[in-house]
Amino acid sequence: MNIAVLSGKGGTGKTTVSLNLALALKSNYIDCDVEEPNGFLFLKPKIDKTEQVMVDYPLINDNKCTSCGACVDACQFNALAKVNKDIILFQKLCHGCGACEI
Amino acid sequence: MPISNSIKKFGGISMKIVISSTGKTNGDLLDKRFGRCQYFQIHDTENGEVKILENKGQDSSGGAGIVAANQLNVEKVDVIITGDLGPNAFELIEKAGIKAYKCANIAIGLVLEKYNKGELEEIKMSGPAYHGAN
Repeated sequence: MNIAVLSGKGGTGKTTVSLNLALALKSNYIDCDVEEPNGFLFLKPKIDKTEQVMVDYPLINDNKCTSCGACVDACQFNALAKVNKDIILFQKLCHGCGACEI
Repeated sequence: MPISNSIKKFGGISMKIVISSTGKTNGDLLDKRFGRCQYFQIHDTENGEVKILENKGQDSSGGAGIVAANQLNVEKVDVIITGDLGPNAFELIEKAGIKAYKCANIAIGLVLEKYNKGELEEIKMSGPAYHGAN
């Protein structure tokens, strides 16, 4: 049996619930949180192998951009903003989903 | 545009002042959280009209300040009065050339009085991130 614990909002207790479930059920704990995987803070695992991964983020081509703002509306993570004629990217908020490639 | 209006614009008399607020009236208090406030009250100094906007940022899971700043940019406001601006909102508002002023959580009527008397301090740098989160 696999149990997934998820929530769109931070600070709701995903890690607390998952850790306690894993300990109570003596099961494997897989932290899929791509931004703040914090389970290790409590479980203190021995890490055998690490690997670098990359996340895509948009680059705005100023020669082609018509400042229509459609990418700003498409972004569900509020990583893009339009100020006058400029599109501004907040890289830390970008999840690399590609919705802005409309 | 009638000539009288354009003169007023050049004279800097017509201004849209937006205040982050807990409610829709003059008696409601200023909300010191910019991105997470419930309402924005837009006061037009030219005709005294007040427009109430629900802050679209208040329920977003992240980037609330960005959503709020986007919304106010569309409304073409000139001045923002709030408690603090987070780093992202500050960047957008600075780029948009909107002036921001800091105020305590007092009634909106008093906020405007203080602004008109020039008693409010201009926000020239961003406050901490996530200051409006619960």
